Amino acid sequence: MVDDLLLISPLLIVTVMGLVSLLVGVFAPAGSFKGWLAFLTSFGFLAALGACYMLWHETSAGAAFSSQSFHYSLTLDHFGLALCGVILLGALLATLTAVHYLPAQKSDHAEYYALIAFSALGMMIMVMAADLLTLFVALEVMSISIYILAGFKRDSSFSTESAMKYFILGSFASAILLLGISFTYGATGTISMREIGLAVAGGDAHSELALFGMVMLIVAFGFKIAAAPFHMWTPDVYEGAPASVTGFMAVGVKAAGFGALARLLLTCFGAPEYRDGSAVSWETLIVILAVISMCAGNLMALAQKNLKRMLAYSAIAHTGYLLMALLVVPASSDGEQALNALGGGLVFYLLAYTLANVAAFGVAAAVGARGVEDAGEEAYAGLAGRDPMLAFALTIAMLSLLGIPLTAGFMGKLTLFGELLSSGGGEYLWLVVVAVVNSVVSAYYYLRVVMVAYMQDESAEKPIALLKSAPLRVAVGVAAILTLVFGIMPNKAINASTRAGYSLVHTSNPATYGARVSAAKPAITSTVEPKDVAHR
Amino acid sequence: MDPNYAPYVPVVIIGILVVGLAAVILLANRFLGPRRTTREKAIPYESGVDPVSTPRQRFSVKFYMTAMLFLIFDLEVVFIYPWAARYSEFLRDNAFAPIAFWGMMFFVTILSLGLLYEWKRGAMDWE
Amino acid sequence: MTPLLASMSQTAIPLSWYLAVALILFAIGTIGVLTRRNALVVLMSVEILLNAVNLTFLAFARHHDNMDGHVVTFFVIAVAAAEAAVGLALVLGIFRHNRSVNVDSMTALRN
Repeated sequence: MVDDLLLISPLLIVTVMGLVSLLVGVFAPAGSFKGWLAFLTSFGFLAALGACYMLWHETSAGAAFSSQSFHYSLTLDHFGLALCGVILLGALLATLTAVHYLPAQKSDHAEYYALIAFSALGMMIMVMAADLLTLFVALEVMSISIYILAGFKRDSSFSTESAMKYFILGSFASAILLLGISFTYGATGTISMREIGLAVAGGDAHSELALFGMVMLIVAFGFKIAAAPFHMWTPDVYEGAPASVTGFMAVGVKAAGFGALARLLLTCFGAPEYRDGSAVSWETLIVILAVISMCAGNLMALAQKNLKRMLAYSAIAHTGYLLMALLVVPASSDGEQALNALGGGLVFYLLAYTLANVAAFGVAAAVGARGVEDAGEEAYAGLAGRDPMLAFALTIAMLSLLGIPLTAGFMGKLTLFGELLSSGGGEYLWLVVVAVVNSVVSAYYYLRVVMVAYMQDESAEKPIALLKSAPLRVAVGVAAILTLVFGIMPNKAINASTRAGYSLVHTSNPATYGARVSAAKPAITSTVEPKDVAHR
Repeated sequence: MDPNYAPYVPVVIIGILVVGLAAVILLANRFLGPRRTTREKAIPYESGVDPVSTPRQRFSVKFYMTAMLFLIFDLEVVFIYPWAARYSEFLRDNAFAPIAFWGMMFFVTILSLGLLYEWKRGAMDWE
Repeated sequence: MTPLLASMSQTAIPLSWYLAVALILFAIGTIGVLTRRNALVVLMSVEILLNAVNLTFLAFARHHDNMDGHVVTFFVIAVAAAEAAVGLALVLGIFRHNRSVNVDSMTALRN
């Protein structure tokens, strides 16, 4: 039992930090400055990052929870740990941007930091979840916290409205997810991902029900990761929510959603006939979603003047690129293709995306601090003259999102596209071409932000309302520097990501794990037979 | 007829009887009874107090607050009840007994912290 | 035990009937979420969606004769309560700004 608790120590640390900041906030005098709680929560995130790092080196490639106390509901592998690390890094930096931003928005409440911690907890459990119930509960822990965070500025109708829109579509997506879980359960008779994978691969599953469940699950995740055509909530929510929340939401939900989706698809539906065999195999669906997301996101982003809204459409476009990572079938050292594994593209791209977005939304928080969700062009026109450091960080973020060499975004795209080309014998060459064309198109709106910040003059009537905040500058600076570091020296990070992606083969492949699991875990059967009920 | 549906035949018969009887009584009333409406008969509460305001009043938000808090804490019991029902079986397994006990204590602790938060926030103050 | 109930226990209603009811409920809920204008009715429609899914879980649990579906249903009920609490709070927030709970009045964010 103690071993189990050590294995989930990152989760425990974040839980305790969330509870502590919730209660400390209640007992602190009303109206006092709550920013110090940000440092407390950040410290918790750092400690959890450290715990993830320790666990990364502790576990062998296939280590899994084995104690009864979690009843096979969590999987510990490098994939989960790597994504936990990305989520914690995003949460850490996004928390620091809020320290002085919230008082400037007159919503300095301790609950903010507690909710950030709880949603980070949900995200971390999502990427570790090994059964569909855990996945659902974790997703709800994440989503409900984020609905509240999006509406955190209660005196702003923008913020409240964005929360309401997110809530309606988010809970609709949750219901669809549940329908998918339910039909997958109906097809196989179990909610454990590995057993589902075993049943599906062994042909024991009712295939129509399983396919229906799979499609519903993909649709629900499409909502959560903002894939077109399920993206309609994204621009409104990104624009209306407080900038510090949007930064966290953009990176955390995406990392958690992709982690859970990848694990779900590879574990439950890794069997070839669900993967690429029939017309409704998930690879086909993912390709369709990827193409629509890339094109729709980029085309809509071209017309946006508001920085936050533009980043929302850019998030949709990046969902498209990231979806391509799910199609990668890496080859192991002995040349065998591992169907149940991912390349390093997904995790590394998420890391690059996280850093760039934290920097961009940090700048949006700094320039929009006093206006009402004000991130229009005049809010940051001439930023270079006022604050060269923030303008430089914004530039790096935009270049990384665009994918210019020497930034992490470039290495992410290079890794991802390269892996996709080498897997499956160049079958997806056309998809890579589409993605590259889209990247080129995106240069227009990313570079325009840089032009506005450097070339235009600060408007005389509405000068930049710049927020003076040392923690925000540290967060933005660290994100920008890390973007450059991972762009120039990416080898270690890419190797770790590849290891993470490949570790799925050990935890998700029914062939290696299935027999052992089903022997160890007896199916829970009803002790009350239906007949007894009738005759009692 | 499919023998599977045989047990539902009585239900259908009862349904037809209920609907039929109600229809017969209502129609009989309409055709047989004399109808002389006066103003007094047309208003609600013919022999009671005259209505003074619309019955669709707005409730104070406090009712909703209490209802929501009740809903959440009430539903958490859903998780405690099955645990309690099986607890004696958990105790027989020496390895699992402490996990079963402390797991639930952890759950209840978090729940109590939530209650403490709610209390200090003033969600339970009626005024 | 009346003869009627005893005979019912031997002839179970087929799984597909439960699924049909659940999917009809799910369709009603979906239509409600997508077309109704009152935010409170939208919240109710979401609850219908979740309960439709609960019905499928219970039907499948009985079909497979294992407890997983029942456990999921418990969790769904609890999560639905938490969601409803947050949803009602958000509706109150919207009402405070717009003096209306009509989702069409939410037009602050539009490009």
